[in-house]
Amino acid sequence: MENIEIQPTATTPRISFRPLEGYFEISGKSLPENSYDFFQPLLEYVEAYAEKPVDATKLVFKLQYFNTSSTSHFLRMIKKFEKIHSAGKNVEVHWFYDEEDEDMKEAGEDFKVLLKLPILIKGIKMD
Amino acid sequence: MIISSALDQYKSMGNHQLIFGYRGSLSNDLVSALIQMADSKLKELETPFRKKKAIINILIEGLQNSLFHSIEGQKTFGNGHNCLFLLGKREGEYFIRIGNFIESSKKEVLSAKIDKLNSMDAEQIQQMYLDVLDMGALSDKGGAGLGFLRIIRDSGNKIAYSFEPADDNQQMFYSMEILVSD
Repeated sequence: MENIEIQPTATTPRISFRPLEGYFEISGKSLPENSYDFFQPLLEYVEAYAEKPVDATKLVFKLQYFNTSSTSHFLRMIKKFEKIHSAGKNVEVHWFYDEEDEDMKEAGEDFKVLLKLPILIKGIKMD
Repeated sequence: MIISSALDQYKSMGNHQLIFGYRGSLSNDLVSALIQMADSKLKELETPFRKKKAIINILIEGLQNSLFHSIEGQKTFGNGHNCLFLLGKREGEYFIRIGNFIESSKKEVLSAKIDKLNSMDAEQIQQMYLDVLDMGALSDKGGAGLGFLRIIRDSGNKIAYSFEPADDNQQMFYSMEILVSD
């Protein structure tokens, strides 16, 4: 599988998917006009990865803002990684938030309520 | 040319404690620009981070809702999918007002939806937010039906709304006002 590197725009996040390293990162702002169009190809990509994942997979979120239709796709995506986890592979979700941003922390906690794989929520300094 | 009215307008905007406003057609890039502007204005006013973030989230949902669901107003109101957006602060509370044209036939469904959410307490709203998120049903526009829930959850207040008759019986000007306590 080839890497995916998508540069951020004012309304879409930076995407860095490096399947050979088992590293998947979504960062920045996510308010696409049509979130389905933006995320569906990425979901299909993760689905293909899930058929032959490496031993340890890390999914990293570092977000500033998002719209609710994006959050719905984030959940769909994490659920695909959850399947890899329940098949016995090592999968971790790292949900980083700006240390001032309690709202983003709570968004991570919402996912924790809905999912069974390890989600690490950590405040960091963001620009 | 009358230029004195500019000063009156300047004073009047100050009297209404308007931080900034916009009237015109929307695009997603413009939504993003308005959010950037709101962010820097709120920083300038030393708004606590939590409040600022709540306002930003409400703007994202409210403005995109207007972008996706408004209809073109009658020519007398200007061309295109025009909206009205105001952000201000009065008596220690921030207010956000967003309005746009909708088909009159949408009024009942929309008001019933908001009334139902307004009748719920914070815990019920949070539970419903998680339930809807988990069901993952998406509309053809990619919306997840979470927008109003997030607006109520983040503002901590109910949504005030109005429908005003526009040019004919086919369309109305729908607007909502959300308060965020300082």
